[in-house]
Amino acid sequence: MPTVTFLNKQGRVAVDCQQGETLLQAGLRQGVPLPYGCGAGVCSTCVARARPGTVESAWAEAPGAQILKRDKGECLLCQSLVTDDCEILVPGKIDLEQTLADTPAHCRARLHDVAVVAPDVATFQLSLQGQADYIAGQYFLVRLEGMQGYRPYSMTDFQREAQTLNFVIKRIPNGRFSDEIFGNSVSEAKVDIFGPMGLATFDPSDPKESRDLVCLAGGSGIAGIMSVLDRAVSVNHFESHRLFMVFGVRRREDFFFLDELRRIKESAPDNVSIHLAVSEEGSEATDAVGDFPLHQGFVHEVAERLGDGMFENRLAFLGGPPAMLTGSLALLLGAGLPVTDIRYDRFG
Amino acid sequence: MSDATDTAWQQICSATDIIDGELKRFETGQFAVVVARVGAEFRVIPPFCPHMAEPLHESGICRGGTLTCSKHLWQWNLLTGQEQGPAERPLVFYESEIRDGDVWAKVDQELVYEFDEEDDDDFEW
Repeated sequence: MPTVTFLNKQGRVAVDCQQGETLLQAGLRQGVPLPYGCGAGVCSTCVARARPGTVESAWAEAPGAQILKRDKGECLLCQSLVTDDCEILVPGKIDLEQTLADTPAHCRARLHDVAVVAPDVATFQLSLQGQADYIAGQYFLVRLEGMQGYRPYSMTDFQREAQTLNFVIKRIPNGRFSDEIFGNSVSEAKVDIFGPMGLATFDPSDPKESRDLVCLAGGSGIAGIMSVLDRAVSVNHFESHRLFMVFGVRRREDFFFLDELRRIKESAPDNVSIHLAVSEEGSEATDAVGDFPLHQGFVHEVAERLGDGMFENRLAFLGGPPAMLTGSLALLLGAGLPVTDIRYDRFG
Repeated sequence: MSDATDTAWQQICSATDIIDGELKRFETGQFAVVVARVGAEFRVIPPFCPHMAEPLHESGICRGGTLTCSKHLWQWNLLTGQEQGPAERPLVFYESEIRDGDVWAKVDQELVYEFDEEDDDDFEW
């Protein structure tokens, strides 16, 4: 088994790397506080350097790899595989003397109960060999057996000692995982998972997070937010705190999770304000869907129209496509929220 | 005021091309710049984030005089270039001024961020 030594000017730490495991997974699994965002080749947060020629890329065309200076040995830790011992130069700000308190792990699981809940959205469950604890808002990397490459999926609820994890997936043209799910070729499958991961989390037991919330979600980007809200409801968070939420899709028929949102609303009707938005022109045939008011426009536009005075001093959770995230971020920064109070994963 | 005959200076855009809080990319001929507006003040900067070279006219958000790159949330005071929050490198500015309602900048030499950490290139494996 190869030994990977992570080092910088402040120190070094050596860990084992299992066959087929990425350098990021090897490091995190053994408590090395490596920087990461998506864990799946998109966000570029995990850039490091290897001696040229000593690591292989599992996905050379990864979006996050486009900025790499390969002649200098730059690599994405989340896409790097090794077969021999190697040294990896990581950013100097990382304190390699520190060890992560909670470490993610590999696990085998069985995928089942795929259910199409909207034209381009499905839910599925993973039954774990074992159990997992996670913080609301976290995600797991998931890989169908026999496929290369993990994809990040946020859990849509909150459980302790979970034996079954719940997810939502959006149909992506030519997406390998997505094709398997929506092509009906998978009713059950074996999968490898790694996690939990992610920093867009909510822990209401932390007094600093005993706050009003704002949640802005687009499409399947609502996944992690549903976990945050499930956690909040489980501790009656909205009996003493307010929620302002906008959930947007393209067309009326694209909505899903409305029963779950209704349960959140009913947990504290006076303090929970949930609005729906459709972005496609002409698709706003009514002014409500179920119990929720319906608006025309992108999520951040609707939030701006409705949210006067709704954002100050709140903890914000965002989820959705890149343009929605950027628009929502601009809205919240303009309202004076510090970036430390705005949480989201950048998977797209 | 710079010497108006100094050929190193170029007219980049009209001040009215950019509204408050906006970032816009312009070509100077040899390279690109981004012009940012904070109230009546303008700043001309390289078009990339000092962190990982994200295109700032797409990823940058300017609110209340603070520039935020939405990619990894590095932030700067847009008037001084000073880092805020997690940012580890300052913004650099092209010398600029307003002449007759236009934004001019001294763009004789491209400003390039040193994206590598100090001594990385000299690291001995």
